[in-house]
Amino acid sequence: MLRPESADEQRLRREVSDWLQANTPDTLRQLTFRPVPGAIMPWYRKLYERGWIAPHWPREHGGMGASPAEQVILFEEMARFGAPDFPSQGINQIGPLLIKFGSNAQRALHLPRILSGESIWCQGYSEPGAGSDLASLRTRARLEGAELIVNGHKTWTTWGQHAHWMYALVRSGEPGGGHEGISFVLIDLAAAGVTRRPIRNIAGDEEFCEVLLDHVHVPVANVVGELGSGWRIATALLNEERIRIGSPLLALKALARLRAVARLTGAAGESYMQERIAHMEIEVETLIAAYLDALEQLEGDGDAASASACLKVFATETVQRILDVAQEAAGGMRALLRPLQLRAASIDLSEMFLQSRRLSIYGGSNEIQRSLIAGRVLGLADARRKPS
Amino acid sequence: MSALDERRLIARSAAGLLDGLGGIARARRVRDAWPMFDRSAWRAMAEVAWPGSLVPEAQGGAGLRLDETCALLEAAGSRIAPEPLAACIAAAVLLAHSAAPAAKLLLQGLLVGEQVVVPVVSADRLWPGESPLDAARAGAGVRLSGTAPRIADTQGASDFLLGVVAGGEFIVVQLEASSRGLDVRTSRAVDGSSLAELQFDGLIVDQERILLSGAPAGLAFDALADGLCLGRAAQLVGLTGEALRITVEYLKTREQFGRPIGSFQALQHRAATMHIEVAVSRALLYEACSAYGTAQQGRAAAAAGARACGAALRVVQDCVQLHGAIGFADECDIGLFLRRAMVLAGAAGGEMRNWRRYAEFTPS
Repeated sequence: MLRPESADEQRLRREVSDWLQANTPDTLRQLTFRPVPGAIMPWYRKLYERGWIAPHWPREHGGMGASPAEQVILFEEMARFGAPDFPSQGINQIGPLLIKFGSNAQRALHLPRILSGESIWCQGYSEPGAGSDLASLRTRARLEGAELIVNGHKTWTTWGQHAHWMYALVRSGEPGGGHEGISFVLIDLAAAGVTRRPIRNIAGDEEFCEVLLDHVHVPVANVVGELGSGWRIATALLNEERIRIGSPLLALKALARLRAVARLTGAAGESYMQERIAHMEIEVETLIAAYLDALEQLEGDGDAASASACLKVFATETVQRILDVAQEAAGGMRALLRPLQLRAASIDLSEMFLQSRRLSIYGGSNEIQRSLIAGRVLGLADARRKPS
Repeated sequence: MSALDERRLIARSAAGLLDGLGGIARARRVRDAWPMFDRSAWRAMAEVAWPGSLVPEAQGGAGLRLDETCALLEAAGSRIAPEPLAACIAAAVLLAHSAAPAAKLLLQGLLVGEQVVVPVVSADRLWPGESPLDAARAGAGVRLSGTAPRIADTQGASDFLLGVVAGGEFIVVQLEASSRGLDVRTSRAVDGSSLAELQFDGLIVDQERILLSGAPAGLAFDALADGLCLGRAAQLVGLTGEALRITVEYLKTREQFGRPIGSFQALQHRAATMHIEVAVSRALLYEACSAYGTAQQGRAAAAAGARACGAALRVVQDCVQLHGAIGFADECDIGLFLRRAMVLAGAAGGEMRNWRRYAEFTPS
């Protein structure tokens, strides 16, 4: 962050740094993959007990109520320390959605368990036939009395195999209805009829899975909002989701990785690399500035749709560009499969780079974001519409 | 009113003034009439206290914040204003800090639009074979010989501010452009502005013209250089935003294959990428403004400078491309944006030199 920090902000920074030092085992530092629940959830719980698990939630719902600058301070310290990625679907996606649209019963049941880590959540949106064109989803939900009977096939469900609950978009209306007739439901993954199949990704990690739903009974009390209002609810929080994906945390971690690799190989002493590192550091400061700006637009009455789409594209492509440079810094060893063990430290050279390819694809692909910006922000007409 | 609203107001009123003075058509006229300095426009800007933007009201300035001044400079960039506004605004701040009578006189002349004061600040080195600037104490004054690094955007300059080490001490001196022993070699830039090379042949600077000396001089000149970088970054961001706006309008009106070319996805995506570049560069500019006056000042200026230079040149070149053949014709205004971007980027140090400068702030 370039802006000056107040005394309170400096104190927070020191507190975060001290807490991380005292509470994070070495086995959780500088990882690339999200660690499995058994490894990460105890740390998640400690962060919750410290009150820092949900920086952007309002205080009345158990959050930190952190200002934009305070959130950035938290990210910077976590990245500097090499803190692990923890499951965020609850904190970043379904939590804010339930705060806004959930019934009192849904909030009372789920919010505390999201905060404490007792419930792990996953997202059931994409299907094999419905990715960017999510509105074409086909998972059916048939109303029978006080239950929905759900049949279908969700995919790319991050941490689906570890989650307890899945929030999903299902078609409760007529087939082929597009946006209409989609409902937002909460599915207990312990229910009968749920099968989960892990998918191995390009980095060799099984971080997501397919979720097969075969006559799964979902109580109507688990519908968020009205039946048929699912699309409106899911899209209402899109701006916030994009801003979360667009946060500087990953870029800060990638930058820390770049510096570590460049030091390891000695590339850091070469001027060609110093200037590229400087360029990447400038891009990260740019991202932090854009993130702070987007949060301010979200809180005020600025153009959050524009800011969030721009941020998502810029943040994800910046991470990828940083890791391109890190690959260069790794030189001939860039393709090493396992982290390099050097003295007491372990440093990955290939995993983070491979993992980063998903950033421009998920959360609304960067092509979709660009089309959104072109249409809604710049007012350029869609070629699919009939010419005048 | 939020800071953003205040900036919007200033930018709107500044754009209005510049449109009243002739807007982009004026930039074209000045370009074609080199060496031309639009004195009446400069006086009109002085009347609304633009050169004194950052000078406190008590000293005759407008007393604006740095971010407000950058909003003003964004507007100047958007209308391709040919005056060396950032240079004069930065010079005025330094002059206001000096107790020397010559500084007060020069500041007055600047604030009323009679004089144009350009600091000799450059990211460049001397070219191989050129004799470096030498400053030697000559009694109470200083004798200058050699060459100063070349500077851009110097049109209309009546005076220069030079920072130099003489007798082991850093000083800032006023140089009148017409001084004997000073040869100001002016060349024409592509946008009608001037590039200047200052050659010194035994020029004696009187004691009266030494405006600052010692540690305060160094601090003030560093602050001037960083502020100037931010000011030029602001002009670049404003210029780029307007070039993009004009281009998006063109995409909506130009038709080929029976439809507006803006309906083709390839051009939509390109325009979206350009929009992102402008938006994030603007965010960094104002974040860097908030670091001014702190220990992060130099790093912030280098960052904002690098980003603004890089984004401007990439985006404006894309703007030319998106105009198709007409973009390559001089009659189309978009080329004026590219030309001015070249000058401002050269003045601000360019993307790569600013990466280098930024790297020097990072502990290895």
